Amino acid sequence: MIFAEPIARLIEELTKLPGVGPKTAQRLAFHVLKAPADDVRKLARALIEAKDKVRYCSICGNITDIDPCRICSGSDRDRGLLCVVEEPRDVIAMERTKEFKGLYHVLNGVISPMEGVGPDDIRIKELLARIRDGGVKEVILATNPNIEGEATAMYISRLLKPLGVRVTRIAHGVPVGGELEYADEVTLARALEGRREV
Amino acid sequence: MLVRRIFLSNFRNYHRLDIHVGPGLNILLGDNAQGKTNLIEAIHIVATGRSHRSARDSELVSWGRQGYLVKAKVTRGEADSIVEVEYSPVRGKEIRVNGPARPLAGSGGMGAVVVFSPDDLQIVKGGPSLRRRFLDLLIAQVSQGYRYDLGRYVRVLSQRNAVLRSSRFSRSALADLDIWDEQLAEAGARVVKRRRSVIEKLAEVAAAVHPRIGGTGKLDIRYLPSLSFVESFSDGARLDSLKDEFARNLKKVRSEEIERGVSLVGPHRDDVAFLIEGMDARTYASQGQQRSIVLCLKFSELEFIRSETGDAPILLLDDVMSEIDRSHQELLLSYISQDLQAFLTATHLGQVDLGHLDSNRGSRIIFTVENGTCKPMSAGA
Repeated sequence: MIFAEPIARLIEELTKLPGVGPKTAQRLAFHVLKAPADDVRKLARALIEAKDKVRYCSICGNITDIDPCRICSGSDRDRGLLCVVEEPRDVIAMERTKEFKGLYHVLNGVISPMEGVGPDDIRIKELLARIRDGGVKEVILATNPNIEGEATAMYISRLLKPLGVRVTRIAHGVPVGGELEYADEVTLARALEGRREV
Repeated sequence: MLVRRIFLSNFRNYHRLDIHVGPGLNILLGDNAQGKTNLIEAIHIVATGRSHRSARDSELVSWGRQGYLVKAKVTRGEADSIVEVEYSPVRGKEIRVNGPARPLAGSGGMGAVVVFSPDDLQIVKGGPSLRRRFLDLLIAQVSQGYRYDLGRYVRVLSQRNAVLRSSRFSRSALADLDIWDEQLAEAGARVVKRRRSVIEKLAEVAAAVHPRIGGTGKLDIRYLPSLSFVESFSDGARLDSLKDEFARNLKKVRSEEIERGVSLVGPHRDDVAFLIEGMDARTYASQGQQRSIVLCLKFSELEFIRSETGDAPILLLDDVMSEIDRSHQELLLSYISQDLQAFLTATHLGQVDLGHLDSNRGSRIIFTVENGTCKPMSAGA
């Protein structure tokens, strides 16, 4: 072993992080060693606090420090509108638009039989319960426009339609602000197929 | 597209290479395991963005190095471009054309190629999966949409097969088949529609090429779709009706699929037949006839791509001279003179009938390839 035991252990732990290879881990580890002890303690505390204090909202499944989360308990939210997304990071993306004023439901995954994930393994039961509780008029399915996202959206729409709630799917096509010249051929071809009268 | 100059760094057995290549025939001469095919592979990567041999970019990196760079100066139409394909384990593969990478450019290539190697004889002789692969690679070169649809089809198929497998243990899982069927039929309809129209065009080209290369008997290429209704659909058939019919077929075979735990109908079970005077060449044609068919297929592929894209593909002939007889060699080489860029590997010049070549107008350059180096052969040698 080239490194002293504690450094080796630090490098090993850092390597487990996404996007961090052995070399980056090594650089980060040496940075930590050089940094003031106080900064390192702050980092360690921040890591532990994030893990300890952040949990899943019991209503929408988003990550939060208070339960129910700020969105679910917000007074300025339209409670008749529910947006279904795959992951907490999708909530952040939707929130950035500042356009959506409804509530969310985070599935925490998508149906993917190849990976052993069935409908019961993601938060679909909880979604059904929320709809049955009443108040929701429209459910927007905002899962990703890929194979698993589409299949999951279809599964949910089949369950929800009999409950008398309006179910919609987000549109897809040419990115706004982008120039046609730079849109990839497939996106452009599909956007053409999905054209509508003006 | 024409390749003018190639620069390689840490690619396969080339630590560093910088050569100018000719617009006509380029002959790569050298013993086995010196790097001839690696150079062919590099040109394939420049044109299409991917290797024709290895799916993993990490395998293309020189032993003990971190990443590779394949860079080329190419001419397309009137304009010169610099194409760079760079791979590193951290950043993955990046394709740049004249500057910074465009995220979506990664999926497509700059130009098309036609590869001809001894393995191609298996297209006629081998199993259906090889013919599907030939077809898919061909169509993907002229249509990004096809590549996308086929990728989606394969993915849905795997998901659906996973459901079918698990249904043996839990019947309730079966309710989930429906959500995959919709996408399977949608992507599958696009795939079969494209395959059908391409095979039709290819058959037309091949029927004309076959006698020109001395092939005996009338050659026909026929699509054998797993979904037999596809044959009876007119070419202008709407995608929707193909999709609906596919979905209906899925319903019909469902109980059998559940029993066997696997998807039974769809383009993943398609085949292509090569018929000589109506007889299946796979079983009835002689070795010589089969070789003629493969050569004919390669020329047809070339003409098909040329007519679809308006641009001549680069012809890559990897070690085929030892596989075909003299008359076929002549035909092959005479084709190259027709404003076509080609790269040909051979172990010795005797394999290449240069007398015939010299009478051609096309330019030719001979390179000697030795242990990871490649140099133009001096005129006197």
